[in-house]
Amino acid sequence: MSDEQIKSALKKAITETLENLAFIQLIEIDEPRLSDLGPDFLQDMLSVYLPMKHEYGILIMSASGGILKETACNIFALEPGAVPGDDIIKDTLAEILNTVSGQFMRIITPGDQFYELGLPVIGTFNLNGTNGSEVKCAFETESGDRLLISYMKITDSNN
Amino acid sequence: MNIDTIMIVDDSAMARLIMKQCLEIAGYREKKFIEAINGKDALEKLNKEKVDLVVTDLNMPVMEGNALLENIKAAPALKEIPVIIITSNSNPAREVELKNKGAFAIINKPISPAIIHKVCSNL
Repeated sequence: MSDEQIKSALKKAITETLENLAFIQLIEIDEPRLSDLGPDFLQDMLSVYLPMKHEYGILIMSASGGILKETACNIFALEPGAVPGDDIIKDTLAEILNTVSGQFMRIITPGDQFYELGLPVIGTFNLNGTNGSEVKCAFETESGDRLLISYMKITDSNN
Repeated sequence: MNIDTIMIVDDSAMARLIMKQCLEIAGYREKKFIEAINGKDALEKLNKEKVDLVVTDLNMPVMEGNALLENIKAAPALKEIPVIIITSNSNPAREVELKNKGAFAIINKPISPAIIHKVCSNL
């Protein structure tokens, strides 16, 4: 699968998920740096595995605090301007990435093949220098909050 | 089928809330909801309280939804409870496998009240 196909799948998965989960419209932008996400950004990582291809991958989502707060407020029906707790924010990030990962894998995996998703892990991740091909997409909301999602294929059947 | 008590199983509080909201909008507003954070927690609660419908995630720590489904269908006292799987981790191949294990339906995330209503109308 080409990088363009992977990017298209990532874009479809993240835009549909945010729209369906929290009515948030994402606009694709040029790739921002992590420092553009603001001081309160969070990162989440989830591993994926395609047994039939012996292929592993990692999805990493980095989201500015504003997107996570807006999503949490929309889902929990909190008052505008309310500040969700840290646990809710982290849970929001994990649920978004979990849902996006499933959407993404359904797009790139043939229907007769299985795939496995790991559990989301919140932490600090930097793939620079890792040996693998990375595809990134970056988005912005109407309120200017940003989100970066990347997929890295770690191994494949040719290696 | 008469549904009075619904169990929602997911390690994510947000996912449990989304499932509950969708079920309420889909027509189950006045029902009793029991929440569990993984398959083990769900089985413990199922053995203490009568539940008419289980709605569970697949991908959970401690005990996955797959194991929960197998345990429910293997237990004489629980095997008639319909189990709906709501997951990010499914595709046609896995759906066949889960149906063969006794799942009533498999719904891919993100879910919506309309999809829940459509599935539950067949209960």
